[in-house]
Amino acid sequence: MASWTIGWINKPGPCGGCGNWKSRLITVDGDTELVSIRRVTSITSKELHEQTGAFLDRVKQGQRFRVLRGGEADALLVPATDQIDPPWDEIMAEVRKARAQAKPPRPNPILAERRKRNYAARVRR
Amino acid sequence: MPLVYADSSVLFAWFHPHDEFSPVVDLAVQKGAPDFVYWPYLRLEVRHNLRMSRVDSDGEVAWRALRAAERTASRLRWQSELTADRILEAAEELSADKARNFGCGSGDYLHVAAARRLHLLNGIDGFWTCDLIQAGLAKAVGLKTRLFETKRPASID
Repeated sequence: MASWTIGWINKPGPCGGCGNWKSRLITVDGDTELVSIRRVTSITSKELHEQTGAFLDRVKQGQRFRVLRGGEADALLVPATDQIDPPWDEIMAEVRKARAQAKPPRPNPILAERRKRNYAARVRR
Repeated sequence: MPLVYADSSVLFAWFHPHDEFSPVVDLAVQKGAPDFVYWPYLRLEVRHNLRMSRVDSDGEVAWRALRAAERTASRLRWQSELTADRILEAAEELSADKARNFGCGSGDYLHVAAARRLHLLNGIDGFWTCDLIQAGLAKAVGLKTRLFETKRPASID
């Protein structure tokens, strides 16, 4: 049931801006960072029910578990500090690609709408 | 990750590849890597304007990126505390206090009231806007405000 692999990498990290590993990098010296590569360990829902506290302690220490019910994976137990959402770089990849194309900038429609409607500001001028 | 209240003008610029403010907003997000506050009025304004911009490939790209961000729990952080009734009431009070000095629209008062409420409850790391008048109001209520400007004046139809 070994679930940890420890390794060392030389800076810069292998995933650049991916974000997911950042919280797992521990600086060893100026050039090297300790990387813990995590595997997910399967447990049954019965095991979780009988040893909830023990499993939560292990999750708090950084371990991850896949909870099986009837042999099927129903849930994951991950540390609350883990980043489970994709980082902005991933979400915005297409936008950044489009942004790199040279096109004239367009007026911000929200500001344009506000300026059109802003009767009070026009009266004050 | 820092949590920032970005006005809809900023969120639109963040998602749309060729908005006039896109370069400066993109730079700020790359530097600070913030997550953004999200609540019903902000969602309506951002979605509505991105829907209206879905007339070309840039608009489609922007829409897909927004939807991807909405599926996360943290990039756009849904604020259950910011309910419409509470914020309408807070904006009304803010307007009663500041409308004589700040000629913002009522929507601007909603944004600033929502940001102020969150700041008082949990603390937020800033208020970002591309709107000069709204920025003045945000500063006046004590929010750490960042105004994005572009050298190219926006052409208004």
